[in-house]
Amino acid sequence: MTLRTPSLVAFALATAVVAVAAGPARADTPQQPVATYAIVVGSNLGGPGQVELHYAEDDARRVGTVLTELGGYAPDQIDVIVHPTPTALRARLDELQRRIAGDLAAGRQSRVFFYYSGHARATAIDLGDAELPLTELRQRLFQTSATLTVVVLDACQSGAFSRVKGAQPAADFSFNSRQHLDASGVAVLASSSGSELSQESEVLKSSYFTHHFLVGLRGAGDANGDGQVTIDEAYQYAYHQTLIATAETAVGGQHVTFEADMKGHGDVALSYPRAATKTIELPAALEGQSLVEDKRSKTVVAETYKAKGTAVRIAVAPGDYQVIVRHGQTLSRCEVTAGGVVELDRCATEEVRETATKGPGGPRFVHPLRVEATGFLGGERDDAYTQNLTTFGYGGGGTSSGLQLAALQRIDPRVWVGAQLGWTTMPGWTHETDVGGEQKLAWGVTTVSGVARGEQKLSPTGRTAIYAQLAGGLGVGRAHFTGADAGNENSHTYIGPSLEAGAGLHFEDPVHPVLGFSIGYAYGYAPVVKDLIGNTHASGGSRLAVGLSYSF
Amino acid sequence: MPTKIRYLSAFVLAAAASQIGATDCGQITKDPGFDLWCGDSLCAWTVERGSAARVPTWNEGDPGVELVGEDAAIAQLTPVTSSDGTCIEFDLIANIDGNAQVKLNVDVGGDGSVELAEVIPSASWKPLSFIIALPAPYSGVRFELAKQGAGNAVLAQINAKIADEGACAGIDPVVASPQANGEPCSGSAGCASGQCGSTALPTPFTTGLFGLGGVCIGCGDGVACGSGAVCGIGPDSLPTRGLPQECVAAASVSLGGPCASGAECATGICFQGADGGLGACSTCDRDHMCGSGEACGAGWAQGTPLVRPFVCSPGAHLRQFGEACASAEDCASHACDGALRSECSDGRTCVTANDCPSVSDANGLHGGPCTVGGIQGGTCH
Repeated sequence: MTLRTPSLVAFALATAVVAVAAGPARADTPQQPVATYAIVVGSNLGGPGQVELHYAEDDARRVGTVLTELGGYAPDQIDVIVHPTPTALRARLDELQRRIAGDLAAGRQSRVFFYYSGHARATAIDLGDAELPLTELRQRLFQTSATLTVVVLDACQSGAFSRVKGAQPAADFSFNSRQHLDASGVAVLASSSGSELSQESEVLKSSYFTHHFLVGLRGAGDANGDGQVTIDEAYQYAYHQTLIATAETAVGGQHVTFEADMKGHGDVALSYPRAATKTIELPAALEGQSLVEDKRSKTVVAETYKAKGTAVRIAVAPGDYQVIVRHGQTLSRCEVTAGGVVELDRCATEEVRETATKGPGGPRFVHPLRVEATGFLGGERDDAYTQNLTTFGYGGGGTSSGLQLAALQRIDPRVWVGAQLGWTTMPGWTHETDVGGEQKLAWGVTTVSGVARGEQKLSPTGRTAIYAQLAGGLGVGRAHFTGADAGNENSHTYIGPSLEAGAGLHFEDPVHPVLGFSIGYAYGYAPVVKDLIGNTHASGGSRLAVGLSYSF
Repeated sequence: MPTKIRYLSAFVLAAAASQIGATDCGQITKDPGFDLWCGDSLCAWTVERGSAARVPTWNEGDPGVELVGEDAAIAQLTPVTSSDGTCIEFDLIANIDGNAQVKLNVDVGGDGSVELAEVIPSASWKPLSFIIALPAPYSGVRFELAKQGAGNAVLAQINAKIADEGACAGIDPVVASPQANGEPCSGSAGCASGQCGSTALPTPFTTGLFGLGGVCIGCGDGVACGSGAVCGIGPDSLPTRGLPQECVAAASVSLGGPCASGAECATGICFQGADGGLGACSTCDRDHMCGSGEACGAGWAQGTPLVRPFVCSPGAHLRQFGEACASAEDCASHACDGALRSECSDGRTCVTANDCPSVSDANGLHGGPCTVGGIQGGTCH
């Protein structure tokens, strides 16, 4: 699967079911007395034949947080359950039913929010090796006496792709759910249709659907700007953002679906971002793909396409954030504190550094080429060849230095390949002869190598990357001997293999991101210089490498 | 003349003192890297048997020497003395086939008798090292590298140096053969002549309280010579030895030749320093002044060797046909027949620098200067 960089991060689709039971729902702040209950379930565990998910349980925790911050749920009303057994989940649902029955008896309205993120099959949700039948889940959820019941299921069909949520590819989870949850006042929102699959995002560290669902709840989905996000607005936002994001993934675009039977009731608000203590406002003039990153935790809080003309407020926790806005080939980096407004004229602006798209011929990148000039310095290897020089009375050795020129092409967001030409000058050796002259050995190695480099940014939006690389090719060694007596000179050229391994850090210039600087460690090994008595010197050793690069 | 005599004596002492510790920072072999080649022959090493060829080692520009022939040997007389030390480390790099046997032969004093023979094992460009304990006193060691067999034997980086005495702990010193005249001795038993004494003749080593003891002598110190012979300077031998003090035929040394007393000289006059050491046979000195108002002066030009003959009216073209002369300028005919004599810095006769005691300078350890002096035994033509 090809993942886009944070500025154009891809989204995968999850399956969601939103069921809304009939009952009063006001487009206003939560009204009391209404008893609110939320059961939020996350399970990374996979059943037989299913891989373990990475972020389902984290998503459940994030849903709980947003419900607390923006949904009008008190913390003690939210029951976050991770990797539960069916028995445990049944117990929670039974307890829910008893409490709602009590509310009804007391004349209180009640609202229920149920969220599940994890694996599922066409007939059951998978809780590790055990499962809970969907028919039973529906029965337990909709046989309560709640005034309003919201059910969000982030699960989908399993498929051939790794860490894809869900189960049997033939079944349409949402469709099946809709048919079997046919009850008065029930609305169904489904994340996928047919055999669409859902994915997690390594960049977002979340399910694509849950991420955008929550971003919508934080305010990005507030289309009419009334300060609250309704089920319909959340669906509209999640639908578009998820579809846009997943359109370029290997799994393909996924379509969130929503069906509701409110029986005359109006929109149901799921969150109230205006009521949040802190927001970040994306001003009306801002346009482009916008990403909000928590600077402390280096996590993406929100990512949305912001259209020009309407301000958008994203509810966030107190702290400092970086908002990255891409519009066309321009990337703006804006520092903003929770509660503030993004001020475009104070943002650092640069050309878009890179992006990847899928298409014929494979991925394409902005700035896919890089040329580098690297100087290095380090101790030369001591081996039988140099020890023999010592035996013959020569002194020298020490530090080698050299220059490498490399041309690299990016074939993957993290992988560069190319060619490298290097020149190494090894420390000379000299011998003061007993007749007053000096014998000298001057030598060096030229290498031509293929290079493969892996590069990983230390943070999704950062300018610093750690790299590791391997190079292999041919080395051409040259040795020039000058004797003490006039005319006693000779030169030899040798050819042999050349290998190099290295690792280090690569920094992009903050003002001109096409320029870069690297510093790292390299170990060279090029057994190419030979003497007449059978010794071979492997040029190389441990070296400090410092380089400059230019991307285009 | 007294001034010149004193000058002469000081020069003798300086020359002798310069030979103390005849090593190059502890290195006692000349041309260890076989860098010196006189054509196809080694300069510092003597090929004693077979031949020696210049061959590549790790690089063709850094040569070694191959002992060519089934019986081949090279040797070098090193100037080391027991003042330098009695423990020697001998290093070399060897590439020796299995069907060749190479020996390191050690000849203390360089008289030709091998006191120690060590087999150098077969090796492929391996550095080898030998520790040798020598008996004190000694002056000069001849190292011989000898090959027997058809296999190849290439040697390089031969380097003998003074080692810490501790390195020789537990090693029995080489038993040296009796010393020849001019070699150091600690007792008469060590001398072939049976006489260990003192001499005023120059030696390349020091003797006495801070030196190596005495010197083997053939006469003097109470030992008289027979009829027709006098105690004088014997034939020059090795540069590691002192000038041998022994019985020589009376009046046998011609004008300009080295002498220790006037009795050796055909002229009957030996111009010596005040210490009575080495002098040159002359026609005048302070006890035998020139007649007819002629002055006694150096027969050879200033700046020439240490030991110069003194003649009457040098360079005045007064000598007639058949008279003794030290240079052509002495003769009225401008022609002086005789042999050119060259001297080492200590006054001994030499032909090449290898005949002279070694010196150490920026060019390493090598034979001292052998300088042309003037005509010996000349007569006006």
